[in-house]
Amino acid sequence: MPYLVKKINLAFWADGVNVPYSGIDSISADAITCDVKTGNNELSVWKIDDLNEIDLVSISMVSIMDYKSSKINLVALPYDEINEKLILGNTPRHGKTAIIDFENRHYDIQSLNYKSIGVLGHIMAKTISEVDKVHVRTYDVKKLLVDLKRMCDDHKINVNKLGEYVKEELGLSK
Amino acid sequence: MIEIKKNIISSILVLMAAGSILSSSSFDYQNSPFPPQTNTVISQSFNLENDGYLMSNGNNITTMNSSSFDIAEANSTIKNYQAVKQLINDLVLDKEDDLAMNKFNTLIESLRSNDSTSNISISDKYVDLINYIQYNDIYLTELLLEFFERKEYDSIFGEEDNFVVTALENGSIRIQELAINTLYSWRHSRYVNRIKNVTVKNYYLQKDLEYIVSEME
Repeated sequence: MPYLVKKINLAFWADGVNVPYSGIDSISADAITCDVKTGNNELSVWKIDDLNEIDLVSISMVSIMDYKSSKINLVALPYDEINEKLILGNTPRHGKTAIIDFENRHYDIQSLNYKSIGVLGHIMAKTISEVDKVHVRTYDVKKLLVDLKRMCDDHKINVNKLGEYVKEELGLSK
Repeated sequence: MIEIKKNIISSILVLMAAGSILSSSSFDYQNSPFPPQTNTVISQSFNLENDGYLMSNGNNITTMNSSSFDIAEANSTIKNYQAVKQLINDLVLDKEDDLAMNKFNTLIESLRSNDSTSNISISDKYVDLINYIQYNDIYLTELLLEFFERKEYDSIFGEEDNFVVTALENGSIRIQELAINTLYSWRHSRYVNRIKNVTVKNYYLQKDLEYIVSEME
């Protein structure tokens, strides 16, 4: 089953355990203004074909880091539901990544407005708060750097596109 | 625009130096984070101060959570706080804006150590400032936590470690998240036992906290 992956801050969202999700009115303003931050009325996401590929998105995000960061939280949103309810476009040119050919996985949720951003917020809140907890992942950046180094050695990375922090950590700074 | 912002930062740093000097009966040049060659510029900063750019607000002193807080030191702290706040306002600081964050980080870095060339001692005024921020300004607390996240633990002073663990113990869920991010980055803390006693009312963040405690042990 395909998904669209997006980075989130966990504190903004109902977790479904301590705080149940009780509908769109309960989504905090910070969740929308910080985690559903649009540009040109678009929101950047990465498509994966199944949950096993979510690790690749985390490595992709680390690959372009210019500054130190400790962890990444990702949510995998149901592709079919978003594609049905919102406008989705494959936009490889907007995808920033150092993983070769991974740009093709980049999508934008487009033409977002007051109503559709609410629809998206609802899908996100529903997914983050669901019982099985399999669609939210935390990644340790230090461990991702090890994976990234391995991919560099396997020539799967465009070294020129690596972020400054990553280059320094991998000993690739000039 | 960048040049204007640079000038603003320079002015604020000079103003903070002036504020520190004015509020202290004996200024210790050797231990000051600011260079002593600023006499000429300090007199210029008087003009700015007379314009009301930096105003001490004694009323805020009562909000400090410290029984041993000296009034003169409090005035200095509040001046520094207001100067930092002014910088944030001037930059229209956006956390996603790396340039703005770099400027904020440079400012904090210049305040934190008595010796800018090596991290051998922490400035008392800086400690007062971060304590004041922790009890009075959620937004700056968030920015400070993000500043600490970017630093390596071996350059972190005990007071800063305490700042982060206190944020974890007493902060909102969002502050707790940023504190966890910082501890994730550091992998160490002088206060592991305190961290172990913290419960975060968010399923995912509690898991993250348990993971980082296991990494520390």
